[in-house]
Amino acid sequence: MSTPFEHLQSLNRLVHEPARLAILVALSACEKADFLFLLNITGLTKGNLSSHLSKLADAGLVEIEKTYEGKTPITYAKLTLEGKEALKDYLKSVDRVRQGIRQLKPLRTT
Amino acid sequence: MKTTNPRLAHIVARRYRDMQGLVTVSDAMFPLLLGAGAFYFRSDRAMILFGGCLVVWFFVSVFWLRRRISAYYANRFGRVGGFAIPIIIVIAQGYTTGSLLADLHVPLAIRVPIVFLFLGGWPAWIVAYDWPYRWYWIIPLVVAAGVTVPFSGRAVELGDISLATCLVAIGAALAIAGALDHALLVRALDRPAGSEAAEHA
Repeated sequence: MSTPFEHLQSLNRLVHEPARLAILVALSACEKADFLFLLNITGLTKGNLSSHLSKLADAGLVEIEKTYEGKTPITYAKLTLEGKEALKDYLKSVDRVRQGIRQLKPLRTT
Repeated sequence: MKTTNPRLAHIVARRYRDMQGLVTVSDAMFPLLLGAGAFYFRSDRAMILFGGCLVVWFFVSVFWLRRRISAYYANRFGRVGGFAIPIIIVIAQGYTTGSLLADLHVPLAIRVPIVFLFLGGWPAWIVAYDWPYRWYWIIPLVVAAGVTVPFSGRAVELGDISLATCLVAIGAALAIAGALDHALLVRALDRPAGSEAAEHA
């Protein structure tokens, strides 16, 4: 039988990082979002957001699309199928950890 | 990072286009002005002039104001893919469907749920799915429930004053909901001044 700690070990660390998780959760709710929207919704700095997006894109979880609206350059980010699966698996893993921890009986102190 | 509730972040990301409240406010001006005009302008000449102004407002709103408001949101909060159907079109469908079904002598028991679906369906859906954050869509929902029966009859039989009251109520409810949507968007997406500097410090 696997323990909650084994489940903890199995969490996808790329997704588990709070800033990347925030980006993935925001992207999972929409078709695509631009850099400014992600900046506002996550509250990350430009540098941090850029770095985390690059990591997610390198892992194939997010697709980056650069386009122009008039003369304004816009960077859109979109969750890939792999990204959707990774987020779904991560949430399942977290549920398993939570269920496992609930089964542990806390030590009663008087 | 911000401490926005993940559910609120999810709602904002999913409904960003619907939640651009200033668009809803500008759309709400049409029934509001139409209703107010029906109250105050009683002579035919005044009504024709007012009708002309409404037509101008309609084109300004659809072809200029809407674009300006969208650009404002895009520059302030960013862009999200997808599209949103303007709620005012759905509500206008409710009004015209009510009249049409009445002309076709469809029984009131059938007309009422159909008209309510157009008038209150979208607000009800928002309240149910985005609860508790967008609770204020209860206001258009309650107004929709109130005007469904009059709108299910032939609108012309309502009389000028009661028709005006219904239109003003719809417009005001939509304007309030739009303003509160905008406030929620600002609360969820506004970055505190100097947050970038603070994070680097």
